[in-house]
Amino acid sequence: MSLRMIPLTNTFQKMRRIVRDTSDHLGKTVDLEVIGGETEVDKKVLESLSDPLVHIVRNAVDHGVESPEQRIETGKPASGKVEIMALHEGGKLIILITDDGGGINADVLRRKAIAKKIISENEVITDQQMIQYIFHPGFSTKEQVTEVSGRGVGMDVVKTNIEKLGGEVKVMTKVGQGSCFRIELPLTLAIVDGLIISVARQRYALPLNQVQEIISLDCKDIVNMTKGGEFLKHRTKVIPLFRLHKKLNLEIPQEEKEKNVLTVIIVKGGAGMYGVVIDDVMNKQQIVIKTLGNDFKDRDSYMGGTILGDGKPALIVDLIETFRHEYKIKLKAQSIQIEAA
Amino acid sequence: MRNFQDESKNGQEKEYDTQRYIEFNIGVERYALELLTVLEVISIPNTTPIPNSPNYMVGLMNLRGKIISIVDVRKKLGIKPLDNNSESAVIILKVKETSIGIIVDSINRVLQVGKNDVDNALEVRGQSNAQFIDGIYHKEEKMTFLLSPYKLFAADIAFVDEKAA
Repeated sequence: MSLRMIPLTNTFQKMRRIVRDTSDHLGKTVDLEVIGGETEVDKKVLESLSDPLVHIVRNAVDHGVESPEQRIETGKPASGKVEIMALHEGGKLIILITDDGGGINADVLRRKAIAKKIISENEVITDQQMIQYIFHPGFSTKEQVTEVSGRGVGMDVVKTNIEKLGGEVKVMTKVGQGSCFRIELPLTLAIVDGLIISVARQRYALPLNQVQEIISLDCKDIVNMTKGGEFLKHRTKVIPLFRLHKKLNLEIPQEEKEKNVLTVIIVKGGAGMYGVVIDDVMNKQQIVIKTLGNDFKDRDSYMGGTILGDGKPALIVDLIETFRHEYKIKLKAQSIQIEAA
Repeated sequence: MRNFQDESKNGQEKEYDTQRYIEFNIGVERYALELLTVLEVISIPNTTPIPNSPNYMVGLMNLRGKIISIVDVRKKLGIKPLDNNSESAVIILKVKETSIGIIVDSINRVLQVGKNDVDNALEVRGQSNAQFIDGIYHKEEKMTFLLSPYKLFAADIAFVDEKAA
């Protein structure tokens, strides 16, 4: 396993050149500071990380850092600063790209989003939420399209690339002081945090990042709709409820059927939230994902297999994929319900 | 007449005069698989069932850290297993990039099959198991069906066509 881990040094080295070329091109002076280049990351992750990184760094130099004149006017040193920092944090790789430029103005974004009909005029969106819209496809705030950036394709690609790796990207900004992009990635694609559960006396693993919450649900609180499925009220929302054993065509033992309090996993993913009834939660552990001979048909529900502590293989159930089909149907049922009301 | 082809080397099909097969029993019928596709033979392992899979898909096993799917070919071919049989074994095969284990009733021997000892299987309408074999070895009084792992699992595994890819 350790053979697959590669330090970020080379990728960061490439960023130096990109910062230099880009800033020269734009007539800016930008210092790049790199921290944590020795941080190691899975080779596969690294390969797909390079392009999004280049993009964010270019953006920081082009959109972030102001021209020297502007900087002096606002009392900043003439040369801008971009900092790339990598670190491990709780089994995750964190990469922060910070610039001390002008920041992202949420109001500008809002106007732009309204003009492009991405949001409606009276929609209430906080500044923080608004800023995340830079990852929206077809969004560019720079009036001028340059060779370097601003063609409106890019940030959404960055986001999709990082999400493909099972990661997340966020941006924080302060107008006048700069922006910070935070990329969170799983350290390796092969090891994930898993939740071991049991259904029909068999153990299964769930990827923990799909699990939003685990709740105990009283049977009384389940709303049943004829031909519309089951629903539950979770906080302020009504969400669909599925039963994993039904989906997997498993027969659960009698004592499970008689239970009054169900264990429900709240899954958030794809189109929204839903609850999944399971028999029991066993434990949380890191699981190594192994392929099942990935070409098998009818195995879309499984992300792969893993070998549990006692040497027995267990399937990793991809809850989002498993209920993809149901979820659409349920949503339809829900909208019918609303229309009828 | 069947051509002996090394399917793993697509494009450059070599022809051999003889080829070795591993012969085994499924029920009372004799079948054989090309020895080159066989990785190993093991006893019946503990398996973890796979929900929503066909009934002949027995489950998953842990083979020294690798997860391998086990298929009961007796169920797949609709052959009644032998009663009171203690010789059942699992043959681990490599079909393209996927390793699969198949449960058979007994392992018999390694068979040296000459080019002229094999007849093409006749495509008989309605005889669905005939589609899984490459030919019939008929040198001995009791015939042996030469199974094609590729054909056997064509319906279960989406093989990537190397030529198309």
